[in-house]
Amino acid sequence: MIRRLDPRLAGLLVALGVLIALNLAMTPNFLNMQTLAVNVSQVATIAIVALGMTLVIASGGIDLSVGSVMAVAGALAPIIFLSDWALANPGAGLAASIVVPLLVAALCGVFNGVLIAILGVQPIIATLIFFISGRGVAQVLTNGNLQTFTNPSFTWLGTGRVLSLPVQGWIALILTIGLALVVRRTIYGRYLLSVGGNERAAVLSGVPVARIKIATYVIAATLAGLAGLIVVAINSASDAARIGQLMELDAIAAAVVGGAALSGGRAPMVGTLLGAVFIQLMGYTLIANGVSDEMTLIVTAAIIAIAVWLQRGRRQ
Amino acid sequence: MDDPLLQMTAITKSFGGIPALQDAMLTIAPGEVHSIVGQNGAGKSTLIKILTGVYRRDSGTVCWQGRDVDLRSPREAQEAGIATIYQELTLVPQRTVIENIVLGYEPRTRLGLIDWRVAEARTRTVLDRFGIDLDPHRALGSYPTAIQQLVAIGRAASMDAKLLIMDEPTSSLDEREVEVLFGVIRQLKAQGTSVIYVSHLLDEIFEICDVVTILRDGRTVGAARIAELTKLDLIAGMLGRSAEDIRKAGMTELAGSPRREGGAAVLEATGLSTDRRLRKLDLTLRAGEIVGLAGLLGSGRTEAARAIFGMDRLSGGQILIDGVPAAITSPRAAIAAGLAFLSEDRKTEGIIPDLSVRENLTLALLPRLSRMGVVDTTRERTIVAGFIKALGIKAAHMDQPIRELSGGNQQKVLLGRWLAIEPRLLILDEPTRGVDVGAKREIQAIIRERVEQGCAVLLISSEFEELIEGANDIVVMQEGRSISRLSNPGVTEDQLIHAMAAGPSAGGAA
Amino acid sequence: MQRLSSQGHAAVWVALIVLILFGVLRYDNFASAYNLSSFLGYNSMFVVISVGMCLVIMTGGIDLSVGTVAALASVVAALLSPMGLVVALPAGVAAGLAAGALNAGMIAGLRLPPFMATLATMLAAKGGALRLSNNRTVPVDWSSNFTWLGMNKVANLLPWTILVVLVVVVVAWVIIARTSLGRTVLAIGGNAEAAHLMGLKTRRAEVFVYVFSGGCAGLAGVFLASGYGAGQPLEGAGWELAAIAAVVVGGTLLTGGMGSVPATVAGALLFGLVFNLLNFENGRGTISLSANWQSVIRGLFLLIVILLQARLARPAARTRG
Repeated sequence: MIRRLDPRLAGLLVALGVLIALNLAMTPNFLNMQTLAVNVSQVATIAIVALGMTLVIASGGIDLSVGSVMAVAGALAPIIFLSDWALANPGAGLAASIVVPLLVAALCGVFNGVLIAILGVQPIIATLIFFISGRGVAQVLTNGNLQTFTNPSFTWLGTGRVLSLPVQGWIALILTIGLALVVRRTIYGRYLLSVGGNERAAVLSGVPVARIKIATYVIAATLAGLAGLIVVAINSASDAARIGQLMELDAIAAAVVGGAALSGGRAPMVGTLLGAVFIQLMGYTLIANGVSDEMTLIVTAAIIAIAVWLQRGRRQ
Repeated sequence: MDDPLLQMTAITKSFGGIPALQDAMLTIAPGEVHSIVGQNGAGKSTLIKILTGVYRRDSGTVCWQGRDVDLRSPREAQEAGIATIYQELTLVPQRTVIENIVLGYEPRTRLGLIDWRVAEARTRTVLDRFGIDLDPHRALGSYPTAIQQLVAIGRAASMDAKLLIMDEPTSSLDEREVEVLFGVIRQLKAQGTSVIYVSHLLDEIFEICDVVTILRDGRTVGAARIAELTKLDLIAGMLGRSAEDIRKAGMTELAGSPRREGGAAVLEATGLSTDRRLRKLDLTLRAGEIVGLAGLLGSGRTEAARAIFGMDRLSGGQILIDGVPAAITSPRAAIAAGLAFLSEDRKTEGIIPDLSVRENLTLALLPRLSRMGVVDTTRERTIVAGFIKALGIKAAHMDQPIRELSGGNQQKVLLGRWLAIEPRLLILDEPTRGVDVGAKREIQAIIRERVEQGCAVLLISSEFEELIEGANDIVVMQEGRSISRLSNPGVTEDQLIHAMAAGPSAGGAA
Repeated sequence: MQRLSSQGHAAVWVALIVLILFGVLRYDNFASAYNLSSFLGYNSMFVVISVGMCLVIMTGGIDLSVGTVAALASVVAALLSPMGLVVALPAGVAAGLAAGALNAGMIAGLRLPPFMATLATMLAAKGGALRLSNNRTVPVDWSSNFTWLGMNKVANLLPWTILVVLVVVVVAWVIIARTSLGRTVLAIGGNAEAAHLMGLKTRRAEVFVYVFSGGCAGLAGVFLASGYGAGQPLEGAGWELAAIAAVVVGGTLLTGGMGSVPATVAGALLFGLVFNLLNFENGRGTISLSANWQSVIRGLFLLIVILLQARLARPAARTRG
């Protein structure tokens, strides 16, 4: 699988290595568990969403609805496990409060996928619909209220530790490896890359393009739903107005820095994870060393521009 | 000739190390209709693009109106007085007819703003000249291609150019429209404007052109007055043949083994018509036989293949597979029915550039290579290794990205993609185009092998030897219909060329 | 195709008129001077960035930075407000033009995809806005004449901001309809290759639309500061998508090559009107739609428009084979 190390990935690893080295030298407390845990926590949610985004980008599309889907899923979970039924059946309630939001998220993905693959609407416009209204739906569900709760079984998702690292970090890691395997080893993965790489050739070779696209948007939405659940778990609170704000941009940035080409045909899952880590680490490095929040944004912007430019250079 | 309008000498141009023009020459007098002919890849389009500022030549001189020039952009060429109508429509379909006609040269009012009233008047003049009656305020794209083409020509003709270049201008026009076009060309000629007329339709060249320049393999191999040539001379020049050559050269690997006659009909197509050009085509493809489709560019061969493979909707006709009517509505359905189609354009319809040789080769085979959604990579590698060997694919290893391979090797991978699904009918559209001689023979040998194993083959080829030596039957097409059928054994190149040069009235029709 | 586009444009005007009539008939204070002026004042910002976005989309591109650039401009203008409108207004617009130039450089110069280039600018502008404002809203200097622009109206009815926007709309409209620059903008979106082969000045047109869009965002930022008394570095989130929605609803296709500036204005007003009507309906007590429902309804609205457009485009698509 690592037979041919993509030069892009190698470059990213090097850049990451440099950053880590810099931090080891300059930042106090860099290696302590607390710092690590905080960083992992922040990266994990972005990475999970970015993985789904990478798949969508690989198909030649884009998904602006992920942040709103996060909000919807995050709003639904507490509603379910705080309901009377769930309080009476805590085991089933917990399960439902995880499964149902994910299902709803998947349905959002079906909506996007059908608009795009069957009605031929452009991805940016189709996913715009949920971008605009999804958060509103979440707010309606919660009546605009911040929902706080204590439910240790649920919040374990966000605050639990396995081997001293946050659960969500492990989830992100497992998902990365799993999806990387899916992309490389399954028929879906091959079909996905061919649809994004050369859709006409894919059609001619008998690839079921519409089905692949719909499946992809479903996966992306489900992952966003999962990320929403995690965020709610971390905070023990569900704030429909805030969850996933601007997440789509973070996700796209991570994907592009990780090597995904906006034109489609490439799904570097490990790259995406590293891209998310890189952006997070860059931000952390700057802040921990006294650079203001604002500069961090500017630096991130520059990173994205450079990453895209480098991509173009290699394409020619 | 005294004072030629244009003289291009010793032009060379390469793209990424591959030469497109090696020694091209062109001389045009004022008020002359000059034709440039040559097969695909001969360099016509490159030569034109150098003249019109789209490309820059590597070496050679371009002498325009007596002065050496170096035209570096389309704008410069236009300002020098060269107007072009390209083969691919280069107008803007979303904009109105008026806008397209004046785009870039809009008339102005005194305030410097565009004067649409004058623009409309100018448009009407152009339309009247061509006898076109339409509402110029509608989007260009809402009109059929023929009208769009006439508008493109009208735009160029109205630009007061000294040289007007037309690349396949009549590909969508009917007879009446072609006559109108020719009338305009004669007018231009009378005014002293020269026209470069690039076309594959030899009848038209003989009707309207004065002089012809023949390009082959990037070189100018001849220039002569049309009046002194026959159609056969022209084709011979384009193909680079003489009687001797025909006898000696070009044994392909398709010849040799006895052909089976009377194999079961795998696919019968009757009365196939599509919106795009195909008119009532009949074809029968039998197991173990090759049917060749011959014809010049634009004759509808690829359209026939696409119609059979489910890529275009049929507006008429029927397809029977094993005697049973089959509704082939998509390539996916076609593949399920045992059909395969190797497209002539590997770049836009063939390779998935970022994927490896292995992934490209097995793309159509994946459903059979997977269990529960997971691809059996061990079996995949074995199969791919087999094909790499059998087809002689030169790649560093099977995981190399296909875009790094040469054109010939890419073509082999794509052929492998289709052979891998073990189809009953293999449709090949120019399978050896852009492939070196050695690879050509290898590909031909593989096709022969498959045919002997019982596969039916529909072979579209511009290489006469392939058709003559390989095909049991050759269907000659022109303008979307079949105009004659030749049966082997016994078909000669002369016969084939005659059949292609003849019009629809000659020979056995559908 | 022509039929589709003029149908698409006509539809938004019809919808606008229908909704206006509905409002006039149903709500008492709908046609009041107060409602009209506050509606126009609030929406002037969205209208102007929609116009800029319309031009960018006509070339087949996109500008995701307009929201944060407006925020940046609002901060710049607020910071310079003590020097009065004559300094603060051009300064704000200049901030927008600079961001636009950055976009143009990346897109027309480095040939980066518009989506990514303007995404980068969007982040950079946000950073810039936060930096300049030290992370808080910047109150304007009320003693100068700065707030005059945002808070005053002609005849107590038409806010000055909307009149400025009207001028911008007319200028954009004339450029598109009557200059070769404008025709080139449309040609690029329709068939960029052809535009180049026809010898049009395509690079110039590309640079123009992004700089223009930046300028519009800058102007919107000045309105924001002037009308609401403060430069707000965190405002503007989602504005770019509202602008895109207005352009799409106005019948301009994202693929470029066609479009209408006036219809885009109608689209922006339409979206704002839906909001406005919902407020009134809420006030009547017949429904009690919280603010949360507003965005759901906006989304539904966009969905309906998209579906309609998809249906209208279908017959054309089939013949293109």
